[in-house]
Amino acid sequence: MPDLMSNSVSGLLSMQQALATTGQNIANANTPGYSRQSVNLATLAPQYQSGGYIGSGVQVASVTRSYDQFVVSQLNSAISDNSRLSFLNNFSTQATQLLGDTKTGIAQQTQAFFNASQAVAANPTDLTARSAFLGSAQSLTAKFNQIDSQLQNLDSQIGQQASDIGRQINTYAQQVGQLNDQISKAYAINPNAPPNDLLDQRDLLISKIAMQIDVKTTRDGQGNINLSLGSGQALVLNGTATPLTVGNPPSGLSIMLGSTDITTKVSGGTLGGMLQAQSQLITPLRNQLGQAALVLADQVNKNQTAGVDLQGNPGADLFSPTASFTPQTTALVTNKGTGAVSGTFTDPTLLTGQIYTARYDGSNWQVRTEPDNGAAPVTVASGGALSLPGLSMNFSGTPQTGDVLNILPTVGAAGKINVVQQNASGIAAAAAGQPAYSRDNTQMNALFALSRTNMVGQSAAGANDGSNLSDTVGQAVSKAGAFAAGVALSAAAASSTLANLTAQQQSVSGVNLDEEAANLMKYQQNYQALAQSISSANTLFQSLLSAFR
Amino acid sequence: MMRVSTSMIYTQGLSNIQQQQSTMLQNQVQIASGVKLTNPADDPVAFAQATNLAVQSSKDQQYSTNIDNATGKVQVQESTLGSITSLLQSVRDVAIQANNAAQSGTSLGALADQLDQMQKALTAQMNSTDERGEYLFSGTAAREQPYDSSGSLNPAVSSANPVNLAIADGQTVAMNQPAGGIFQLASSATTGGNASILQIINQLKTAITTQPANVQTVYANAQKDIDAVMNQVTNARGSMGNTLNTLDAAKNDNSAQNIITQQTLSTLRDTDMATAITQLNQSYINLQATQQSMVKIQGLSLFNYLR
Repeated sequence: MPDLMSNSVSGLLSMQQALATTGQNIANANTPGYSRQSVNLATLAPQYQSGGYIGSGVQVASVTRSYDQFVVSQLNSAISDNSRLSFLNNFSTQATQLLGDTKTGIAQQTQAFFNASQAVAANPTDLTARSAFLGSAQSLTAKFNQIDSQLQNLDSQIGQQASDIGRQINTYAQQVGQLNDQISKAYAINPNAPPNDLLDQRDLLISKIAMQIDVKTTRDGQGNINLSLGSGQALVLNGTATPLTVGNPPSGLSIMLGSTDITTKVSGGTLGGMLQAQSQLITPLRNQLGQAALVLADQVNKNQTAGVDLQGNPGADLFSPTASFTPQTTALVTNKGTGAVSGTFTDPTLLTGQIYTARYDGSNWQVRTEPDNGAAPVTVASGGALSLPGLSMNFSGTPQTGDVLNILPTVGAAGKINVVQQNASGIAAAAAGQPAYSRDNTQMNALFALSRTNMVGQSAAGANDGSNLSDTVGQAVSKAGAFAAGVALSAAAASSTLANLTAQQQSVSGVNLDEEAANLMKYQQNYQALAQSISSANTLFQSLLSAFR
Repeated sequence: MMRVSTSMIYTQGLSNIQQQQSTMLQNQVQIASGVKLTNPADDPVAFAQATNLAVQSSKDQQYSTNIDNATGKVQVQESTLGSITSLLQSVRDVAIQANNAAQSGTSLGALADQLDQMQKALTAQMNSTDERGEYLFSGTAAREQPYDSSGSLNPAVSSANPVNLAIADGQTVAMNQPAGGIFQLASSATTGGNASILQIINQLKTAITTQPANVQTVYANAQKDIDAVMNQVTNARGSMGNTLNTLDAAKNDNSAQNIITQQTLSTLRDTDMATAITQLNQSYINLQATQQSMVKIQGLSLFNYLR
């Protein structure tokens, strides 16, 4: 039978739970991933007595967390996007900083090299001027080498970081699987008592995975959240996680989920940013710088071998000879066959700066530009020869259907260019036929004219419809700059989207200490009132007892 | 009304402060270095333009150096040709004096001696060298002495060409003229063939000393040849004068061009102090306000009253 005493006691017990929950909220105000909890109070079933239903007190119906599934799933995709862009932003800032400013950049050093030829032109027999010219050739190649190796370092840093990230994702995925098990068991026991803290932990883990890779979530209604990557391959299915393997072979970052290659499907998170950094920034930049370096070596060597040196002997190569460069090619690690491609440069000035991929369709290699310019692919039989602008390539080996080879013609060439001329007197300043110690400077004048010859990427030898060397280098740099600037803008946008969604999520789930203080007061007062009620009940009971004394 | 969580107040306040600090740092670096364009990502279009302008400017400066080098070399030759002209004038005077019936054997001997001295001086001038010990009038054959003691032209110099230097895109000037075109006569009246002024003077000297029967003809021919050589020297000087004018004009064009390039470059690349300092002040005030407001908000808590 309900009475003041038992109703008040039920209230006291409920207030204790409410105060405990408030305490939990205050304690976790700064815990990442914590969602504020609230007790849901409900009246106990009333009892019918003569005259009507009399309430029989209060109970805690449930303790739930404040949570908006819609905001959280939006938040996860915003986290993926933001961490992809913030990685790219930092990375491209780092990469573009290597390229130097407008005073000491590689474009200026290229011009400085050509300028140095003019001190030799003014005094062709002057060994000091010749040494200075050699010196400026060496600083130019050193600059090319340095930038290329730094870009390569950035690339291999990506590789190391990426495999760490892969291991991290695996740890998180396993934990999500374990939590899935625990949560589904808890729901099986009592569907109305959500394991709030476990749910928070799992959401936090999922957001950590989202930070590294774009992940899709699906709920099965039994309490499990299943995670999938790429085009729907399961990372976590109920309690089981599939291992992710991340490697950085020469062909670029490779991401395998179990035995499925999902590399090309990854588009978000830090890993997505890394893939983009490699394919859209580092590789094109190294390829363009390599193209400039190769054309520089090729053309300056042609100029030098056409002349005679200070002793009147035929001129020799100033830079590494063209034959010492070979087009860079890579094979995907997932290739099943032994197909390979290699070749030589026919005329470096004809190179277009393109990167190519060859895919074996079962009977032929289909060669396309990368990124695909939409042109019909060039078809080459297995073992056949491929002629591209400035390149002559040959396929070999036994490929299997679906195998992919990349042709990155001048990637790394900027790292290989060297000054091979050791002697200042070996510089060929004079035209062929001139005797020793000639003051003729024909070759130096021609060399200087090369600096404004639009030979890089020309349509045919001598057409001069390409761009000049400083421009080529300058374009490569400003292209990288434009990429970095674009990324910076998108990163700012992504970060403000993330801030907004975080604010929304926090608005729902975050702890507000003032609110908790108010709750504390509210529950405390209620508790005091209930205590007073018990005291009143006691007084009432005492007055009843005293009636019989 | 949007519910606000306590940790959000801190996170957002902090991120605002960090943002303002980063802006301040950027402004500070721009002011300290005087350069606003340090990374291609700052402004890719301006960076590309600035790179092109910097390359252009560096090339212009090289052309300017080339102009100075060429000017120096042409001036030295021009002034040497000036001395040669006055020497030739004296030779001519001697030739005229010798062609005088009143001359005695003694005075002819004296004239021949005089002529000999002049010839030596002339040889020295024609074989004069530059600061690096290379011959001024040997064209591309830097280390080949143009004339030997007999006054005949070194074949290496004879086949040498002028040396050119670029002074602007597509524009070159000759830095020197080889002796062949200045001091040699293709068909000399004295020798009847190719001869240098020194060889002609040799003949003149011999004629003065030995007084052969055709001495009058020798004198006449020698005078004709000396006039022809003087003419060639004057022409060479004239052409060098033209070159110097060209160089002067090129220098002016070059510096005018370079001033414009530098100005444009500076607009693109250098920090505009007024703007940068204003921005710095603005971020400073913003940061101060954010910090103060954060401390104020932090002080506001209901818990302060639960005592």
